[in-house]
Amino acid sequence: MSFNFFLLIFILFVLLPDLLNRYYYSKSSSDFTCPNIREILNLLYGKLPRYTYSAELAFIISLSLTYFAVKSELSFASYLPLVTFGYIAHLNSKELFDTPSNSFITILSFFILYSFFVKALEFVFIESNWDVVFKNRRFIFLGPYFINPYTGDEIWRFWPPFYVFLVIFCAGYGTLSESKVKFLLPYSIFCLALIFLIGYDSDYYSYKNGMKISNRNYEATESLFLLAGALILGLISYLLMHQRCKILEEFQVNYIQQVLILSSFLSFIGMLFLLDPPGDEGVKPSYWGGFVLNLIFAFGSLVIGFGIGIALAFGRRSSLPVFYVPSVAIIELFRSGPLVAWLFFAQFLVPDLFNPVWEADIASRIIFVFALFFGCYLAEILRGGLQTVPHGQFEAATALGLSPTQIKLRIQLPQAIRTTLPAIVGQMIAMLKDTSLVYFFGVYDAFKATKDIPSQRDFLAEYEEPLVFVAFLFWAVAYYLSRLTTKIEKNLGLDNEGGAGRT
Amino acid sequence: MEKQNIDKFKISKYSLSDFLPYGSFILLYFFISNIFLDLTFLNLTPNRLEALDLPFYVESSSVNLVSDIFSAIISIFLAVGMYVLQKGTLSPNRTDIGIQVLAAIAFLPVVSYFFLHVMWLRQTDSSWEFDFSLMDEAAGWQISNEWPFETKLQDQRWKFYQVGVINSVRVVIFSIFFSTILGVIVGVLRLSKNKLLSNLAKIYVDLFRNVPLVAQLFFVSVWFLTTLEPFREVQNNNFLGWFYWSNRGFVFPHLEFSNSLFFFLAIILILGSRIYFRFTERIPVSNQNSPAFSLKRPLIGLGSQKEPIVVDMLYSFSLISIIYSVFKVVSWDYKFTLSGLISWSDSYSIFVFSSLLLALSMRYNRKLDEDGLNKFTDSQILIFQVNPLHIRLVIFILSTILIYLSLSIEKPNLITEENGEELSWGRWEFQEGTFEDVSSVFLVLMIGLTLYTSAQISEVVRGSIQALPVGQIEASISLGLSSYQRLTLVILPQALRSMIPSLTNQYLNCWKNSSLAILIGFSDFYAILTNVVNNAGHAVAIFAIILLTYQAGSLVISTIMNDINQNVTKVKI
Repeated sequence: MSFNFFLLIFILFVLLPDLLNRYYYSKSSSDFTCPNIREILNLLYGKLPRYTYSAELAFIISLSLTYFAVKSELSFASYLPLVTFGYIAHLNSKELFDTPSNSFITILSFFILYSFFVKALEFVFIESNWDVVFKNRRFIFLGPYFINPYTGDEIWRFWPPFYVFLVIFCAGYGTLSESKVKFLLPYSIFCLALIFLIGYDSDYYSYKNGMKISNRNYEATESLFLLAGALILGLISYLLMHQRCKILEEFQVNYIQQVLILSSFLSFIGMLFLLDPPGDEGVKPSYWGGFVLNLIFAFGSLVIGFGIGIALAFGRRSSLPVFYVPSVAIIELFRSGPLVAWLFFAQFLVPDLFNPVWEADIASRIIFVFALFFGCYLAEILRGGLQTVPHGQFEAATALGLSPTQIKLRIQLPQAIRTTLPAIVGQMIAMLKDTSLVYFFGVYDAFKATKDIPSQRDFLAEYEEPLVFVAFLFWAVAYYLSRLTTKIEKNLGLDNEGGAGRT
Repeated sequence: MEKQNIDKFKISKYSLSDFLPYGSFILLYFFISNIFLDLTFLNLTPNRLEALDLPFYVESSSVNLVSDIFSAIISIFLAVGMYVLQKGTLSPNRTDIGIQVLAAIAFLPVVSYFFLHVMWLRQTDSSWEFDFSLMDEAAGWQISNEWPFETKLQDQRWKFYQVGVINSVRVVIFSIFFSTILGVIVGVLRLSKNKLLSNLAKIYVDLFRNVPLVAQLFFVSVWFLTTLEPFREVQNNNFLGWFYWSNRGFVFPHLEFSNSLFFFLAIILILGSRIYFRFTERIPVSNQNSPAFSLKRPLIGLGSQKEPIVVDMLYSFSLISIIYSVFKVVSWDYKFTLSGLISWSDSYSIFVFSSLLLALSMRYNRKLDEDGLNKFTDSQILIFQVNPLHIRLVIFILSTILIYLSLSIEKPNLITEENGEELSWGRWEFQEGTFEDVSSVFLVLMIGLTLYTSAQISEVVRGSIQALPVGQIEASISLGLSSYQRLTLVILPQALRSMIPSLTNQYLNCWKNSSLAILIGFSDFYAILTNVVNNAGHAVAIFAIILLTYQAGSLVISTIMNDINQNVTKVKI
């Protein structure tokens, strides 16, 4: 379906009726009106029922029709999606087709959207060979070390943290006191995706730089049992917490949320210790890899950077030069350069600087630099939040006899975090996206994996599919977090404070 | 009874659980400071640091003992100090001093460790020598993207660095310009009443905001490589022989002001007429200020008639001399050493001097605007019985003719054969001096940065439009403004006020994100300097150059944006 077709629709059903109507109106002798697109849509779809979810349903049907059109290569099939899209247009025809210029914009943007979806569906279902991603899925997620036949047994180290995080995450959802469908539907999709990813045996292997990239020793049944246990535990924890939080007061729910956040921080540190316990056992950080490593970097910079950021924010607001001067120096130093420059610092200079005290490998150094970088940006955000806390709060707390530390941590900080939470989550998203830079410094993250997959024997030069898949993973996590931001804004009532209005 | 109660209260005040966190903190501090003090005292042993000439030395056998003793002393001092401070009997002033002293002592082991360790590193490790002499040496490699001058193998590394800086600045200026336009459009479209359109904008933002820039750059470069045809097909991919494109980049016709006399005549004509019109149309000021000397208006003694004319002439003169010096841009001597900072070759010094003059005259002009000396009549004053509009028209036509005469455009000349023999496509090239080209890596980086930054900017624009009071929009509707007028006259000017600080942030991010050029092979200064480190070491000095350059760029951007912000927020609402 070409652009000319949409132009034809515009001329025939929008422009011509409008011109004719104007012409007859200027004559004002007859009552004749030429039917325009709104009336035609009304004629076609006017008798169909309208119910709440009809637009969404029509959208899904039209997507599947588009898929059919793309797949079947029949000439008439490409016009089928128009039928259901027309129904959506009919539902919103008051907004979409009120003036000729608006109708033109509608038709143009519909054309762009349609061609975008067709291109996307064509790429996903026809052009690309997803076998390369599916066979290398463990490689993309975990890196080469954990899927190697000789060292792959170490993968058990990921299971306990997975259990703990899933339980904490589900319990956290339980405290939000939303309807159960809003959790259970995404959760079941998440479960199905995980089962799909984990539950298949695979005997594919190939050689890359002398290292065997293999799934041969992988036994799906055992992992499936472990996964089922985790998923059921998560569901149970959600249901219990949901039940419990219905009864509890708001401050108690808030307390539970704080405990959950704290326990997730602690279990993250526990996870790092489980992966690489002190001593000879365990997996060194330079052997970690894949998308999990990106998540570890992001979460590690969040956990460690939060502490650094709070300290620097209060240090910068302090009137005592011993705290003020170093924190301003550190913040301005780290904000002056891009993250890539600080990764350069981590690669070349940190080992020299810390060598006798802390003999770190590149992954730990990168976490350290990420944390400092995140902490400095967080400190600036928090400083803005602390400035909005009224001074009366400080005076009232002093009058109540709280110590300066208590005032900072229990009165000022929670209020500052409340107002700046959207900005903090935005910084977190930026941090997550920036973890894609690390592959350049010799760490086996997801992007490094996508660079290496095309040199495997069976998948030569298939570089697009892994790249799209990894970009989709980043997109999914970042998009989920940004959705979360708007939800938090609504929950805190921040969106009503600005006097927002649609134009 | 009462006394007993008080006693009980006192006993409960000093229970074990109160001391436990302090005790564990002090213990932890003891162990950590012990490690740092160990290494500090190790650096103080004889024959260790040459630069340090101390009257005392620590015997290497007693390092452990000394550090144990010192960390114990510091820990006990900290414990006592914290106890005294916690009692709260000191006056606020003394508490402040006490806290500072305690903090300074607590950080002492770490600070002394870093201080001495860096000294030790500078003594032993060549990469820690803070020495820029390696930048004067010959670079020994070549880069592909160069403008306005070319680099050779034997050139100094400083020259490569300058090429890198110019490359980065070029990319960032272009992407800031395009991403601002695109971002404002998308941000406004997101708030459109048309649901389809706003959803389209939403998809755009969600797509480009949440995908890492690295992935976007890869996608754009893959798209470039696959859609643009290779260089051997370049003969078929042209537009009337004026524009060529292939996956190496785009080729444009060469444009040159060959006759500088005509060009300068045109500019002098325009600027001179500007001075004359401003002179005739200026409304004379009746109540003159007292002609006292002031720093902001040093020419106040000339009187309200002559003073603005002199400022106008200064402005025009500095503009002309800037253009004159830019004309010689290719012949600029880019010698740049730290000792001389700038070597004063002719056109370069003219450029620097006249830009300073321009900034000065613009500032002076603004001051005159504020004092009300620059007010002009709307009525048209006849000059020699001729309508000034006609004179303006004549000047405009004359100057366009002059500029056209001074221009020379050349068609890009593709050489495919030599001495009657057809060359293989690997040896094809455009004739020197007949073309300007834009390489594909430059375009890839520019498009990637533009898409990413525009998605961020559109969120800023949307946020600041939504933060406007609804009454403004309702009032403009009731005044009968059309939706376009509403946008340009009411919404955007007001949204601009809250937009600029976050816009500045996005521009700074764009400047810093240009460092990702290294991933697609574009030679910005970061890529060049990392290459220098790989070749010649001296990581610390190079790292300092990298940070200073980024900081300088950030300062320039934020200065300009702060200036704009002051102008925008000058009017109070």
